[in-house]
Amino acid sequence: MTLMSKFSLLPEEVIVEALENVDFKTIISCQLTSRDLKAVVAHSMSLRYKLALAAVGMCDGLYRSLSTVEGLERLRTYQSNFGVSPWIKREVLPLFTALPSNDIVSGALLAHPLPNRPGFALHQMPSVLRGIKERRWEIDVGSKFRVVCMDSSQDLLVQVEDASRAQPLSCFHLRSLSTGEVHPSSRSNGTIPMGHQPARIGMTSVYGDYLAKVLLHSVSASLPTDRQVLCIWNWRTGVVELEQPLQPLSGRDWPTFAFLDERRIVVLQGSLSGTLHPLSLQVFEFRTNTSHATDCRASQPSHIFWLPQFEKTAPVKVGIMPSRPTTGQQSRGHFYSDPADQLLATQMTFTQPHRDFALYVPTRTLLALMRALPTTSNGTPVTVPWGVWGPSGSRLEEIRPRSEPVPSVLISGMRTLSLVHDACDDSRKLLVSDYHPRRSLMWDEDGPWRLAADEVDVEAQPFSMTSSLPCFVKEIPLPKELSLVQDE
Amino acid sequence: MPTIVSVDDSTVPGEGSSRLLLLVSSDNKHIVVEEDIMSRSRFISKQVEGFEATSQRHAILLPFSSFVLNKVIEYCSHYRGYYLLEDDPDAAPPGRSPVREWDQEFLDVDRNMLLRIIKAAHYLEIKSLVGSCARAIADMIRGKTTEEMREILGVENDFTPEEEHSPSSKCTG
Repeated sequence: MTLMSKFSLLPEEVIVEALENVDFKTIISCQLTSRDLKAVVAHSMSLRYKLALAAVGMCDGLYRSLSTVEGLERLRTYQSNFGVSPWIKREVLPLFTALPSNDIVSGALLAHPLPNRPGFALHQMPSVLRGIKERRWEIDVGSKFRVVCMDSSQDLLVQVEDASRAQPLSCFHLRSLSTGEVHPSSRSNGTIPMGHQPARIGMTSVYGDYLAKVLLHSVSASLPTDRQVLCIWNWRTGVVELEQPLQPLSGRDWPTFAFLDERRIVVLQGSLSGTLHPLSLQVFEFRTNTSHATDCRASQPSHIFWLPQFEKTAPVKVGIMPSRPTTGQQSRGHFYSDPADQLLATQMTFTQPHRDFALYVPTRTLLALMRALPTTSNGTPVTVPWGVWGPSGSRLEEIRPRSEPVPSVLISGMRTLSLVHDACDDSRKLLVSDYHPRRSLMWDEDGPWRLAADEVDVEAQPFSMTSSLPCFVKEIPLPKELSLVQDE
Repeated sequence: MPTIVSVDDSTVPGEGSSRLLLLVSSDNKHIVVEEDIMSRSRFISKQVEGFEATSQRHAILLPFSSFVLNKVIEYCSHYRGYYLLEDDPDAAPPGRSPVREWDQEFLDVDRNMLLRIIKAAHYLEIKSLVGSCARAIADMIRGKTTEEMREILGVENDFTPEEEHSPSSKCTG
């Protein structure tokens, strides 16, 4: 009995799992308690990785897309580049200081409209640590454009052109980000007609071959509500994969969505006031029909995840996510995710009178749930009440009014891109920084985020961010005499 | 003749009426439990698969006491029918396990019991429970000094004085 109750006699992986939950100082204290525990720490790759990170003032995020070995590898590269990094003082990216809205970002690339002619200025943000050189160039896009999105990993810029005399239908233009020419992968001269004449166009998002967009058609001039349709195109072929009418969220809110994978998209549905149409996340499958017959359009959702009702007293804290969200952007009524990285938490904030809520849903949770749930054969959606999926890593929480800006942080390698909504003057800021243990950002377990980074004022439309590695970087005071087990 | 204890009267009978399993603890208590409840345990699931392959069912002997086993069954009954991400072998959950308030209350036990539960959970391959226990242990030791930690975890100092004060193992923690 006494043997059983000894911590050091637990199976090694259990000890490691326990120590993975504590900070590096506790790990060091723990390995000093006995020979057994010292050996456990020395044998564990993940704990050694954690200590090695701590030695350069970092820690990993809750969601890791790299394995420990890859992480160690990246850390070694980082350490060898560290000495030559010239980024030692705060820098404000001058590109953005005097320019208007509509900036977009993807990976290390920022784009914003040129003030005097139809085109974009592109800025590849430099990173010595990641071996990215600074580049600036401009591309002309030929015509007036409205909404754009881009995907730097595919060298793709998507631009929407309004109907005109020369161009009777609104259409997409697909261009190469590096040259501004027609994108080499697209057919039909890089132009996809949109078919309908939408009144307005909402958020756009690209995921692999797929391009999703919400179109709003005015039903009639006398009715205030628009008919909202979610359309998905295959931008390489121009084929429409889905045309899905949506229930409007409410008069002023744009429908919001995120790609889950290459055949599913999740859309926030319902009304924020919640009385008539309770809020739900509805998963629609596209590409269900390979022959692209008309019945691939306007389908039933395959899964409906119900959100708790908001009228009930206090916001329900059902199920708790590991911790605060790893990333995602905060904005009213919008729903963002990084489709390139399924490990990303999706975050949504919306405002009720006097109340802000945030819903954190890791897209992984939805995918795992869909795998676990039985599918119906007769086309009726699988509905999942909050109680069932709530404990699986999602949560809803009330955001108290904060005086400090609450940033959403995206870290790509050793790079952070953070979008901060400043409630005071209702502006947004983009903070860009390469990580440097002496001058980067701090994250307090309990307190708010504090960032010391290169500040860039950006008055932006919805951002779409891709190709990122979500992880937290934290400034930890270095222990003076910490000796690390160096990797051989 | 061991006594047969029926557990989990609280679960809805008749609904699906899952098959029963006979679990035998190290103190020779026989515990009958619905297969459904224990399906969270990978160990038990594998055993059941074995039963189905051979179409022979037998009691499952477990190397821990009925006291611990009942605690584990209580956990499994509570989360019966719930999907927990950590228990999904395909979901590849990262890093830490989530905090669940019920688990915190459930694991509000003394150190010995906690260590026995985690050992049992590890044996039974219930990842969510191992994760919650690991978190509970982490909460106990977080921020403690080496000396306090020995006290909390019941670990004996087996370093020689020279080793303990050698610069390689010293730090400012």
